[in-house]
Amino acid sequence: MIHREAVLTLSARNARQLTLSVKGLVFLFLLTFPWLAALLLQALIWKGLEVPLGGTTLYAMLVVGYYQGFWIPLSTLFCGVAIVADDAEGGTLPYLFGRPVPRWIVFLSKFSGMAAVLMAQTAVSLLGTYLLCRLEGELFKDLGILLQDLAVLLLGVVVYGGLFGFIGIALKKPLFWGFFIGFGWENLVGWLPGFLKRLTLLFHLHTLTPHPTAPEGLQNLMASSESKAAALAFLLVYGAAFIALACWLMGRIEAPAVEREGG
Amino acid sequence: MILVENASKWYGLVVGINRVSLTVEPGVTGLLGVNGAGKSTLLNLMAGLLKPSSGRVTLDGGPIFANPRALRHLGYCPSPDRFYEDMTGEGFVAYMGRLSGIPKREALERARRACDEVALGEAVRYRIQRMSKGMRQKVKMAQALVHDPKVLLLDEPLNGMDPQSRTQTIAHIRRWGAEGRCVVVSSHVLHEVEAMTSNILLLHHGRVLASGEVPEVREAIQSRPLQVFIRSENGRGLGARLLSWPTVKSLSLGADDRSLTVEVTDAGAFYERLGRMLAEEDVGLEILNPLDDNLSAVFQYLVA
Repeated sequence: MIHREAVLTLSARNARQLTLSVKGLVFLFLLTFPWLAALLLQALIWKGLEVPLGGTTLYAMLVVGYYQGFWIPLSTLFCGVAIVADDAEGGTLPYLFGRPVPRWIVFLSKFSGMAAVLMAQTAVSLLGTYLLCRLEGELFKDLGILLQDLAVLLLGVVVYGGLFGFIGIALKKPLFWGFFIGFGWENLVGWLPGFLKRLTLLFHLHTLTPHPTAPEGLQNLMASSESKAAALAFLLVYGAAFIALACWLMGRIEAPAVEREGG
Repeated sequence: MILVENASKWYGLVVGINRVSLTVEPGVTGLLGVNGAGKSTLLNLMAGLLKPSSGRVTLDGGPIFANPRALRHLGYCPSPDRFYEDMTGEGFVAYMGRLSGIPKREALERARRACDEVALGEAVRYRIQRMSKGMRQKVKMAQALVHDPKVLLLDEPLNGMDPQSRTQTIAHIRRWGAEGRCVVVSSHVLHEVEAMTSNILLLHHGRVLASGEVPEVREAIQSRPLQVFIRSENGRGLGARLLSWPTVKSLSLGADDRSLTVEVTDAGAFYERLGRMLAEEDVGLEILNPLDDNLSAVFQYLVA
């Protein structure tokens, strides 16, 4: 492969930046939250206190509410937007764009570094959460559900990462628009009845999730109108479209090396 | 060979460069102009970081913007002092080498050679955030050299360097030009550019004002028509005397009989003769003001 060196070095650097930075440490801290919640529950159970939910329920709530609804949109927002925005704001984009490597490879390499780190962190965190929630019961009883959850979350990392990577290139103030889309549009429209919710990622992720994603009535409203195959197809098409658009835009943006005012 | 054909670049309503045409051939070409003249815009176009709004910028016949085939032959040293601050000098240069497709071990060797070439010395192992401005400047030059390009674009490369480093860098640039590379160096200091090459291109307000050898450019500037505003106690009398000068093309007298607007064809000769006259006699001169200030500024630093 002609650009092997560029791919390796770009993805490795992006992965290193995500793990050895303040942002990376904050994300690691956020990933321990489900563990703390599970440990708290186990401590309450161990103390003999009456708790309204068991480990299985807590696990399902954390997967749907924390990982899908918070962790994945938030981490992919900050990391996806930063694929290009960090270099653009830091003034180092001319170094990347002045090199003989196609720009779409620059994006895909940095994207793959980001996705690899977030996937690994998510997988470790989810596995830990699963184990801590199952201390009381059979550990491997719901292994199939764990694997399904893992697959859905990893798919979520890729699709949300593609969306926010694209926003990072296409829009000014990408964090603002990212928050608006990731936590406004997604959470609002994703729960509405009708066709519009198909334009969100969250709705399709919920369809694929092997847990109830909402109280029963609302759950029926949310997920009953779509098959798992359709949800998977939607997510794959969305992910591919966002990544393809980002690659296309990379080849068109200008990155002049000029002094910025005040900087 | 870089060919710029009738290229313009606008930033919204602001003109970066306007219908510039030039050819960059092997050797050193100095790009001169005051701040805002369009030097960096032109270099960014040549480096493939900007796309011309109209016209073409090509390297060996192919477009440069976002074209890896052309970028393989280009090394660009940008003017802004921006880096991956956490890297060492050597690490940064090697990283840029790997982005150019050079395998890891070879990239490190080449990075060391490039850093040696710009005399970075022991500083190669420092983190960039700990480096002085001059060292950082050398790192930027080394990253432009690491993949051995045939075209080098250096935007204000001597900024922040101490006198010894400047002398060394000037010698390096001359050598790269003598080796057959196309080297384009921008600066707003004429004597710096003159030390590197006699072939200069003068940009002003986004246009090529003059190009060629330094004496030709000076002559071109000096021979441009220029309007000068003069006020003297005896404007009418001074005007009559000035009209006999061959460098004065036309003259108009203001209603107050003291103000003159003089159009001169050779500013250098006019100022020289006016200076002699003022030294010899008191003509009651109150104001002497070139009406084309910008051109005057260019002229002044060129002939300084």
